[in-house]
Amino acid sequence: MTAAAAPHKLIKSATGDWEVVIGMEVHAQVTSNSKLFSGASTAFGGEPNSHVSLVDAAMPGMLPVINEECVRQAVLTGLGLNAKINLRSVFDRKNYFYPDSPQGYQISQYKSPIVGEGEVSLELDGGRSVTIGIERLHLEQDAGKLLHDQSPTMSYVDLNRCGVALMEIVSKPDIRDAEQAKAYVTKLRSILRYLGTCDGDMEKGNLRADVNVSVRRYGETAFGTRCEIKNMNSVNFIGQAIEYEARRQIEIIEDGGTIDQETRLFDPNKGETRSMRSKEEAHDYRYFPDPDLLPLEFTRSFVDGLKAQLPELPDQKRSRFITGFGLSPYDASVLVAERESAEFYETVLSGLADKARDGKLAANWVINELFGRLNKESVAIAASPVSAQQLAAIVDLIGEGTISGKIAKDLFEIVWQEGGDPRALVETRGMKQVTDLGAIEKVVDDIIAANPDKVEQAKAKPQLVGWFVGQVMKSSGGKANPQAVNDLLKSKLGI
Amino acid sequence: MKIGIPREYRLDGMPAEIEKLWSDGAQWLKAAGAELVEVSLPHTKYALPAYYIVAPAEASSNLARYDGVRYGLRDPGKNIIEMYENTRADGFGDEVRRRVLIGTYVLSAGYYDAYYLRAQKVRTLIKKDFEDCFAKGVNAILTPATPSAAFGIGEKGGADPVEMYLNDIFTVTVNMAGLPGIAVPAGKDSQGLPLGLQLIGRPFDEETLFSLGEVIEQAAGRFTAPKWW
Repeated sequence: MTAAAAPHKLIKSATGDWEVVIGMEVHAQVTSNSKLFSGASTAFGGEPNSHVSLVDAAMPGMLPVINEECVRQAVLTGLGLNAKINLRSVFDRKNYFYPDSPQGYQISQYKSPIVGEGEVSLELDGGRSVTIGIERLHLEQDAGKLLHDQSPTMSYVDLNRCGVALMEIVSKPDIRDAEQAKAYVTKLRSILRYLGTCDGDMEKGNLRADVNVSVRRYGETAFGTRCEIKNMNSVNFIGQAIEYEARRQIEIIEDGGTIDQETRLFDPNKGETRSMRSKEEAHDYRYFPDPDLLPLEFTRSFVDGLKAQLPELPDQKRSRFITGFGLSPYDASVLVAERESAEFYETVLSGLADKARDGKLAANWVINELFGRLNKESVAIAASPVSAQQLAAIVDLIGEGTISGKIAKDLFEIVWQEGGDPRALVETRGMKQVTDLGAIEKVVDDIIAANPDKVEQAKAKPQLVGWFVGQVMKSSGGKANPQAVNDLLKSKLGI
Repeated sequence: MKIGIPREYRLDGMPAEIEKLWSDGAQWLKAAGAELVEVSLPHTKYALPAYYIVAPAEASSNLARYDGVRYGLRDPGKNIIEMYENTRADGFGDEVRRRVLIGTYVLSAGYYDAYYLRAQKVRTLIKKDFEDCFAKGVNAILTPATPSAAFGIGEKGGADPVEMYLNDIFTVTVNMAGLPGIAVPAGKDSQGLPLGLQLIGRPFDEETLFSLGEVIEQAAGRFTAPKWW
């Protein structure tokens, strides 16, 4: 088999082509007001230890009580991943000692998770797509945070995050290169944000991934020994870490060595992964069902009720944009990638006088003019100086032929800088496109009369009509309808 | 009201005074109008070994919070692991440390299925013994609370803790089965130490236990401990 036939990127080396096999565990903080097993607030950024209940602090005799909202969010997420929802699941204790965990164990789900197998489909460059299997999703408690900068001799513990609900979403080892891995996390994040079950804020650590990487010669079916890269909180770092780790493993194997199963950390400054602990140092977590909690059971109708509340997800929205408004698959993907962009575009659409006619034009304006400008000036879409309603008005003006695309860019600039109603601006600033043939004819006649030599040349070289169009547009301040100008010139010049 | 007298609780070598206490208790209940029936709880003999797997397993995890970080005793060390080791070695007594070690062992990779999981299966069988009994119309089960009176501190279990654990033989079944139980003072042994009788009821039927317990309490009379201090 040749590399060209592979549907994903292979790593070439002196001894042949290598394939990377990747599986991911994504930890997504559940959007909820209170913690998984206590009533304490989940608000970010509070004074250290200001959102801690007696349960979170593991005071003796305290008992956990499941937060129904977190269960609802996990089920919604499972539905969004087209996954099997388990009507009965079990909470287990994962036992280990660390100062950020006052209980001395984490309540998690081990053998019986709340959500089973599902899938996520990815759109890649060049119109390719690939489906990544989901192995499971389970609910668990987050840990507290250690503060090492408060004292020269001691570490402090902040338990605000302790007990906040996390969803651990485990993929199957279906991912085959760094691009797919990045697309997977991006897509997962997008689905979670559409569902409203996780805010996806990677900078705050509300979405982080453990990445399992192994390599094998292309064509082999058995998996190689994997290394787990822990706690990645940036899509780009995930890509870099995979590239580095795959090459490191290939080098070892090609030198006649073997890969040790271990946990590694990525150093973004050096762009490399480093060993954190070996398999021998791995913890024995002594999982067992938490005797403080009954198995979690709910009915099919509870699940059906949530199914009925599912919002339109990125894949569905994307195909609606393509079939409904003739958007290119690429443009549709750009618009649906972030929930805010899709919502902005939808608001523009609902403000249009003729959606079917101008939906595609509106997409071009949102993507090229608005997003281009927002990116350039590092402005978030929520703070855009041009509102969806204003942009819809600009698109309407183009679509109905009141202004040309070129004038529209000037209008956009005015609205960006000064604000205002685009339709009123076109009136007051005389930006209307001139479609009055009499008025255009007069300008055309004047230009022809003033340039007899050019007229002669144009008769011999018809492409010189472009020069005349330019002159007419200039003289009309860009407001003449270009098509009308072109037609008139051609007939007057006899070409 | 039907009161079950479980055959398997009649142990070899049980002191005669315990035997007598038990039959006195049965007669008091009969005199108050109850019907006595002999019942069988065949998995009783597995209750103690299963209990001493499940209870230490839970204890080992429950006691993990006493690690010197959040509250309680903290014995410093040169790093966090040493601090944990010093604190937990110092703060826990022998019996607690023994149970933490047993519990950690039975939950460990490679031993979980053979010990913890198996003990949980035994637990299901013990629970089923009681369910079968209640399904035959038995309202409550009468047993001695312990096979002997209280022993002195350090008197038993010095060489073999199982000797001490055996004293729990009649009461751990209730915990394993998840049922309500009540122990009421019912008499004294030859040295004047108090002895108790236990009543085991149906799930959530504590009310029956309180009324039966009152019958025994009224019949047995009040006990006042001799002033020993």
